[in-house]
Amino acid sequence: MELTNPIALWGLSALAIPVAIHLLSLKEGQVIRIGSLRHLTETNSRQFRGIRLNEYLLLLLRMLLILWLVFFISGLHSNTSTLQKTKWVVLEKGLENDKDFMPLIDSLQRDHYEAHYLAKNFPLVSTGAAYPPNNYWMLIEELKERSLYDVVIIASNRMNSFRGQRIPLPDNMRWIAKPTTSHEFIVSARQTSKDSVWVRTGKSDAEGTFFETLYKSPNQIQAIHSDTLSVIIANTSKFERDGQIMRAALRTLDVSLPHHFHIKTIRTEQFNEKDTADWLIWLSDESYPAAWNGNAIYLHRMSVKTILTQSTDKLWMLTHELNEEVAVKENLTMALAAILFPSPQENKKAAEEDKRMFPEEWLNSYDDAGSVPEKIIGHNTHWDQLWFVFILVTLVTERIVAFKRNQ
Amino acid sequence: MNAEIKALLKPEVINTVSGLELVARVIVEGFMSGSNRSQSIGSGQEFSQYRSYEPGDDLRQLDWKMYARSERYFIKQAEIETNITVKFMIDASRSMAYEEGGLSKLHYANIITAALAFLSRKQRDTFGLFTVNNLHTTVIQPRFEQQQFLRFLNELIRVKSEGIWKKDGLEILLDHHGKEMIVFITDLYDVESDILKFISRLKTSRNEVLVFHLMGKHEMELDFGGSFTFEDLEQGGRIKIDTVTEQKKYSDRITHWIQTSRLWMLEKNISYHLIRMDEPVDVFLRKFLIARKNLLY
Repeated sequence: MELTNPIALWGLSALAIPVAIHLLSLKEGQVIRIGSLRHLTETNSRQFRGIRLNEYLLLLLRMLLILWLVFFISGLHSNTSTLQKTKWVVLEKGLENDKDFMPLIDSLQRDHYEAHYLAKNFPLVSTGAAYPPNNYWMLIEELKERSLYDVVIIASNRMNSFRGQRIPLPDNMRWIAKPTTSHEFIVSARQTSKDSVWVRTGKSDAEGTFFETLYKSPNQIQAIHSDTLSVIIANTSKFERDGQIMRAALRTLDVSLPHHFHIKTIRTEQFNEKDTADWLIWLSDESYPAAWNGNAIYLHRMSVKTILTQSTDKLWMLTHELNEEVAVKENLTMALAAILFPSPQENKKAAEEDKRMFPEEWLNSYDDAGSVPEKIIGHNTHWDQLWFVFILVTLVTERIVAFKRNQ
Repeated sequence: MNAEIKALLKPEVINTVSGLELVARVIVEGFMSGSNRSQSIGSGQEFSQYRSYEPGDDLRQLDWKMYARSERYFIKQAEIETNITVKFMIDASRSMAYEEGGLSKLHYANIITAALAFLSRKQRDTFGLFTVNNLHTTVIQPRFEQQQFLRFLNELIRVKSEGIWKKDGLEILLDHHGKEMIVFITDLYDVESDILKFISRLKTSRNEVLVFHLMGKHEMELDFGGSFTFEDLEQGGRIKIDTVTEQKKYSDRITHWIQTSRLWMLEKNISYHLIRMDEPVDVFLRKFLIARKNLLY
C-alpha cells in the first residue's frame, strides 16, 4: 500500500468527530422533562436494543465515511493487488560471483529477491545455465512483461549489447552497472622480419576503445608469421591510370600492414589463365575471364555508394572508375584491406575485449518532468474511483440509516 | 394583534408586573374593543322601590311615567347590582414547569389569569388569587380596590412551580360565601387524584367552577420523533421511550384521559376547558368568552 499524499492522513483525526457526537449524545441522552409519566410506558428493551444497534451502525458508517474520504484525499493505493509481489535480482552471467556485488546480492536474497540470470527466459541463478546477454533492451521489455514488483538488475553494460532504440526504465526496475577498469589487449601479432614483430594492441575502458600498432622484438611476444599475398593487376591501356592507383593503394597496405604483397601488373591481353595469384584485379571494359577461379575484383560500373561490392563468394566488383579523387573519397585503401585481409578472429577478439559501457545514468535517469510512468497513473485513478464508490455507498447507507432512526 | 401578543409572550415580559399587565391589557382590549357597554348607568335595572323626590336628587332618576300618572315626583330606585367574585386558583406544582415553545405551563396560567383578572376589573368584579403547592400557598382574598390588580399581578409573577399539589390545609380556598366563580388552572397531574378530589370539593350549588386544563402540543401527541429519556418533573423518575412506536398508544391514552376528565367534571356541573399551549392565548380567551356569553344569554 502506498500513499500519494501522506500528510492527508492527519484527516484521520476527524474520526474523533462522530465518536464525540456519539458519546455526547449518549451522555446527554436527550432528556425531556414532562409533567407526568403516568401515560407513558417504557419501550421494551428489545426494541431499544435495536435502536442502540442502529446508533452504533450509524457511528460506524460515519467513521467509515471519514476513513474513505481520507483515503481518497491521501490517494491510498496498492501496487500489490494486480502485480505479483515477486522481487527479482537479475544478474548478468559472470557477475554472480563478483566480489563487489556478492554482499548486495546476498542481502537482496535475504530480502526475498529471487536471483535470476539476465538472459533469455531469465533462468534461476541456481541452475547456472545462461549466456551473456546480447541485447539489453529486449531483456528489459521481457522483464516489463513479467510485471514484477521490484527488479534489481546488475549488468556490465557492454555498449555493444545495447541494440535498438533506447527505452526508459520502468519505475520498478533499478539498474546497477559493474564499473569496468581500463583494459589492454593484443589483437594480433605478426612477425614481419627476423627482428621485428608487428603488434596491434587495443586499449578499452568505459569511455572507448583505442587501437595502436607497435613494433616489438620477437622474443617479447609470441607471433605468427605474416602472409604474403600475390596480386595480379590486369588493365587495358584505357585503365592504365586505374591500375596505377590500385597499385598505389596496395603499396600503402604493404607498408602499413604486416603482410607482404607480390604485385604483378599486366595488360589484359597478356593475361594467361595459367597464372596463379591470390587475387586478380581486372580493370577492363571487357568481361572478366571466366576461367579464373581465384579471388578477383573486376570493374563493373554501378551507381552505388560503396566502391567495392561483393557479387559472389570470391568475386568483388569495383563500382567506379578510379582516379585520385575517387580513391581518396571512397577510401579505396581501407576497402581493399577489408577485402584482402578479412580477419574475423581479430574482429571477434576486439569485440570481446571491447569494454565500452552504456552509462548507468542513461538508463536510470530520464526526463524528470514526465517521470511518472503511465501505469502508475492508471493505477491511482483506479483506486480513486474505488474510494469514490465507497464514499458514495457509505453516504447513501448512512442517510438511509439516519432516516430510519428518525422515523 | 395576534403577532403583537406573540411578541410579548416571552418569559422576560411575563415575569414582570408591568409586562404581565401589558399582556393582559393587550389581550383583553384586543377583543373588547367596540363592545364598550357601560356597566354603571343609573343604579341598575333591577327595580327595588319608589321614594319621594327630594331637592338635590338627580333628575335623571325621576320616573316621568309615574309623574304622568300621578302628577307626583318619584325617584325610582333599583337594587345595587351585585358583582360576582372571581377566584383564580393556580396549581403551582412542579409539573407546571413543563415547557413548550419557550413558555412553561405556569407562564400560560399567569397570562390567562392576568387577562381574565383584567377583564374582571373592567367589569367591576372582585377577584382573588390562590396559588397552591405543598411548599407555598399564596392567598389574595377577593376585594374591590384600586390596588387589588397590582397586588394580584405582583403575587402572580412571584409564583414558582415547585413541589407537588398540597393535600391538606386547603380549607381557606374552600371558604365559600356568596356568588362566586372559581377559575382553576391546572395540568391535572397529581398523586392519587388529589386535584380531582379538591375540584369536587370546590363545587357547591351556588358557585360556578371552571377548570382550565393546560396541555402542550408535544405532550399530547408525543411527536418528538425518536428515542428519548423522559423525566417526571414531580416524581423525578426516568424512563426511555421510543416515541415513534409509542406515539399512537400514548395519544390514545391522553385523549381517553381528557375525555374521562371532562365527563367526570360534567357530571359534577363543573365546566372543563382544555387549553392547548400551541393555541394563541387570545384566541382561546375569545372562544371561551363567546361560548360563555352564548351560554348566559
